[in-house]
Amino acid sequence: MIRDISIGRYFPAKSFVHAMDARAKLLLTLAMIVVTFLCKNLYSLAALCAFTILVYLSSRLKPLLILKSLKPLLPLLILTVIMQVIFTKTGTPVLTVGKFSVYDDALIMSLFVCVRILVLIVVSSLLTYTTSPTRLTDAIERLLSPLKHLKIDVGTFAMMMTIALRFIPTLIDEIDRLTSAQKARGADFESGNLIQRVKSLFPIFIPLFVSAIQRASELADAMICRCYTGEGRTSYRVMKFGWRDAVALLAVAVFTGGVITLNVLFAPLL
Amino acid sequence: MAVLTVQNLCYGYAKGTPFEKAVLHDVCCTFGEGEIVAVIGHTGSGKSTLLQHLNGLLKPDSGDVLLDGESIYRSKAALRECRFRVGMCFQYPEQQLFESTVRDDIAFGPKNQKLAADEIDRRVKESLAYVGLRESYADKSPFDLSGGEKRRVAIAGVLAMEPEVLILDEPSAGLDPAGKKALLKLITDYHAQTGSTVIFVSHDMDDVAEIADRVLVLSKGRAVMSGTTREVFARADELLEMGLGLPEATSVMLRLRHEGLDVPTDVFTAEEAAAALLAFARKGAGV
Ligand SMILES: Nc1ncnc2c1ncn2[C@@H]1O[C@H](COP(=O)(O)OP(=O)(O)OP(=O)(O)O)[C@@H](O)[C@H]1O
Ligand SMILES: [Mg+2]
Repeated sequence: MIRDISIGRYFPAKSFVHAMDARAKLLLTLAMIVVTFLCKNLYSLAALCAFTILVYLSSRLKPLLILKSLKPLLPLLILTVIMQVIFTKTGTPVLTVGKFSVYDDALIMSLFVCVRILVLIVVSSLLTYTTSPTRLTDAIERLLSPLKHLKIDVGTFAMMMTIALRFIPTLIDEIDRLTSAQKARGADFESGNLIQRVKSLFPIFIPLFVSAIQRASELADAMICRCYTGEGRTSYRVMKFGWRDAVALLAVAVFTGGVITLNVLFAPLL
Repeated sequence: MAVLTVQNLCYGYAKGTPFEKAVLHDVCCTFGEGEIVAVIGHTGSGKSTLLQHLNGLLKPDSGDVLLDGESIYRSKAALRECRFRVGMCFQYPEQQLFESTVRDDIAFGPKNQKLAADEIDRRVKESLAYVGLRESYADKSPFDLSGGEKRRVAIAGVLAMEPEVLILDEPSAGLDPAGKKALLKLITDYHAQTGSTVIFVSHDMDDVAEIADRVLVLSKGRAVMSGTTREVFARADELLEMGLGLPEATSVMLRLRHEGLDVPTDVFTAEEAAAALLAFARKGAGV
C-alpha cells in the first residue's frame, strides 16, 4: 500500500513535460494551483478537469500510476462529503429523510472541494513525476536566488531539500522492509483498536528513526570528508527556457483566460 | 515428505508503475521435512524474493505455496498460522531491533504468539543460549551491542518462536570467520535438537558444502538446478558459467586435475579433500 503512494517520486521518460525547464514547470504548477481556486462554476470546473487530464496525458505516464496514488485519498474525500452533507444547511433540500435533509449547496460544495483536492494532488505529483529531484532543487535555488541579497542562505536550503527528497524513497523501502521483518515475527498491524494499532507501529518506527539518524550523521561525515562547506558552489547543469516552455506558458495562460471568461459568462455557484 | 512446496510461482515488483520488474518466473521447488536446504544464486537472482513467499510476506502473481499440502494464502488465519510455523530471519536482521532491552526484543515474537509469561521467559533464555550469548545480555539495550551481537539477538528473536521451518537470508554476511563458524554451528545445533527444516541463503560455497543436505540454484529468477549438495556441485562447469563459486576444496581438486593429476573431483569439504589427497599420495607411493 505505502508503495502505491508515488507523489515525490521521479519516473524518467521522454515526453514534452519531462523535457520542459524545471523552473517553468515549478512556476506553472503554482499557477495551476491558483487557477484551481479561481473556478467558480461547473463550466470552469469541467474545464479545469479536462485541462489537468490533458496535461497528465502529455507526460506519457500510465494513468494507473496516478490512480493508484489517488486511491489512499478516498477516505479523506468521503469524509469531506459527509462533513458537507451534515453541516451545510443552505440552498434547497434535494433529499429529506425524517428530520434530516441534504441540501444542494452541500453537494456542490463537496464536488468543488473534492475536485480541487484531486487536481492539486495530480498537478503536484506530475511535477515530481517528471522532474528529477536534483533539477527540482536546482530550480528552487535559482528561483529563490534573489533572496541571497537578504543574506538568506539559499544554497544550503536547496541542499537540504535535495537530501530530503533523495531519502524519501529510501525511507519508504526501509518501512517496507521493517514491516515485513516484524510481520515475520507475528506482528499484527491490521486488527485491534486505535491504541493497539498505534502501538503496533513502534516496532517499525523506532528502528526507522535509529537508522535514519545514523544515516544522516554518516552522510554529514561523508560530505565533510569531501570538503563540503556550503559556500561558493556552482552548478554543472545549465538551465535554459526553450520552445516547450513557451508553448506550455501559452497553454496555461489561454486556459486561465478561459476559466476567467467562463466565470464571467456563467453565474458563480459559490 | 515435503513441508513446503512452491508451485509455478511468478512474481514481479512494482506492478503498474514504469518500474515494473518481473523477478521470479515459474519457480517450482520443494523443501522436505528435516532437511537443511541451501539456496544459492548470483546477486539479484531472486533468492530473497523467493524466501519471502515461503511465509506469505509476498503474494505471488500466479502460482501457489503449500505448507503441509495446503495453500498458505487460503485465509487470513492460515497466513498468520504460517508466519508462526515458518520463522524468517531477514538479510541484516540487526536493523529490525527496536525494544529497550534484549529480553523484550526476543520476547516480541512469542508475545505475538500469545504464550504464557513463564513460557516466554523460558524461550528467551533458551534462544539466548542457542546463539551463544550470556544471560547477562538480556537486560542490555540492543542498540549498545556490536554488529555481530545484534545479529545474534535478532536470530534469537526468530528462534524464540520455535518455528518448524527456519529461514535465514544470508545469515553470515559480514561476520568474521569465528562468527561465521559459530553461526553455522548454531544452525546445525538448532536443526539437530528440534529436527526442524532449515532453509538458508549463502554466497559462501564452503558453508553450503559443510551443512546443506540439498541445494537449490536460482538464476535470473528461475530455479535452474536442485538436488543433493553432491549432485549440484558435481555440475561445476554450469555453476561457474552462472558466475557462482565452488567450495574451496573442489576448486583445488579441479585445478590439480587440470594440472594432470588423477585426483577425484567430487570432493566438497576440507576434510574430504585431505582424505582424498592422502589416499592419492599413498597410491602414488605404492606404484
Ligand atoms: N522492493 C523491491 N522493489 C523493486 N524491486 C526489487 C525489490 N526488491 C528486490 N527487487 C529486485 O528484484 C530482484 C531480485 O532481488 P532479490 O533481493 O530477491 O535478489 P537476491 O537474490 O536476494 O540478491 P542478493 O544476493 O543481492 O541478496 C533484483 O533485481 C532487485 O532489483
Ligand atoms: Mg537477498
